[in-house]
Amino acid sequence: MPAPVRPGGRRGWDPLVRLTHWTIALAILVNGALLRDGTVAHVWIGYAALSALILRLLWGLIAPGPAALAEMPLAPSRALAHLRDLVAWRWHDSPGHTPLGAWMAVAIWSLLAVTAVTGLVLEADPFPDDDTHHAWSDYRYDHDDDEEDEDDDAHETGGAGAEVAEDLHEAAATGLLILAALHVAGVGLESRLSGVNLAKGMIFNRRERTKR
Amino acid sequence: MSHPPGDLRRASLLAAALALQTLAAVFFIGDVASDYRWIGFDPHTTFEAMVALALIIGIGISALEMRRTLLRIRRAEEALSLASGAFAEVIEARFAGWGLTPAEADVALFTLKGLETSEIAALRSAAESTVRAQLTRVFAKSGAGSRAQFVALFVEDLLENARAGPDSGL
Repeated sequence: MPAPVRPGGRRGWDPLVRLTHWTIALAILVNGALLRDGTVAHVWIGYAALSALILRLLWGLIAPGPAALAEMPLAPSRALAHLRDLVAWRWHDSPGHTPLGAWMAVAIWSLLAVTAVTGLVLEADPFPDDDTHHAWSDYRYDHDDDEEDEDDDAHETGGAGAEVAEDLHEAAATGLLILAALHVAGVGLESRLSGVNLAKGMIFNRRERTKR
Repeated sequence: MSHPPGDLRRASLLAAALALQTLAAVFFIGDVASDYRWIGFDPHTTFEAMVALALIIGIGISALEMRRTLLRIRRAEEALSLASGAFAEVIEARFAGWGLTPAEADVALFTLKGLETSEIAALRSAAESTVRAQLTRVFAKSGAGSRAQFVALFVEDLLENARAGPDSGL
């Protein structure tokens, strides 16, 4: 006899998680891969990503259910068990983050924080026509196509601190792109393994089973 | 019945509002910080700091409201699944009371879901005549004279459920 009740879909991520997730995803993609330099758009997208991160972490303190930071399965033993499951091609149902997924989120949030803060150090002014901006950013706006000279410019006008900030900014940004690629691969793998299209849970209110 | 669709829209709107509020707050706090660095504490900086504080309080209130909305959605969904679960139990109990065989129960359930005889036959990979015969036995056992009467036997239960409502404990 078939189940009398329609097998219902699973609850997806809440709207705030989805909004902040895609804001950050888009920001990493655009700022990391398309707009490499300190253009005004780059600065604005950076602010949007930073506020999405702050909002997500704040929401993590208040949110009910799997969006709560306290609900994230961060115990190392669980991550190891999850890794063993993946190797053995087994799958355990989890309503929110998977153990490795939770660590991925923490890693991306941390690198995003580093990228955003160093970005603020490098160029905090979202309105460059203002009279408070730094001489160094002026220079950058005129010469942003000239990658080779950047390090020298920073050294000349921004000092060693700015140079360190810039190196950190670029390293963290590269790390974010790598983590984002790993994250997409991980979601694909888990979806394949579980038969649940996990990406749908990040787009729609609920995720349905794609196969039994 | 509660209104999860309205609450879902409300939650999405709150999320969008929160995103804008936070972006504004980040800019404002940044502005206050740089003003403080260049100018120090003057009436202008103090006022801006107050606006920033108001923004932060607003964000907190919106986030709490968001939490309440999500919890309300969850409760409504749970009540709904409880109601449909309860209804499924009613159906099963009736089928058992009439002494339906598993095959007859299957056919009866598909009929309740509004499937035609030909569709049920296709789903069960059985001949249409078999399904028709099973359905005749289902009607005989339940005392219904027709498909419509058979479905009506359960509508009564649903109406009972709706009157009781998901909030009255079921």
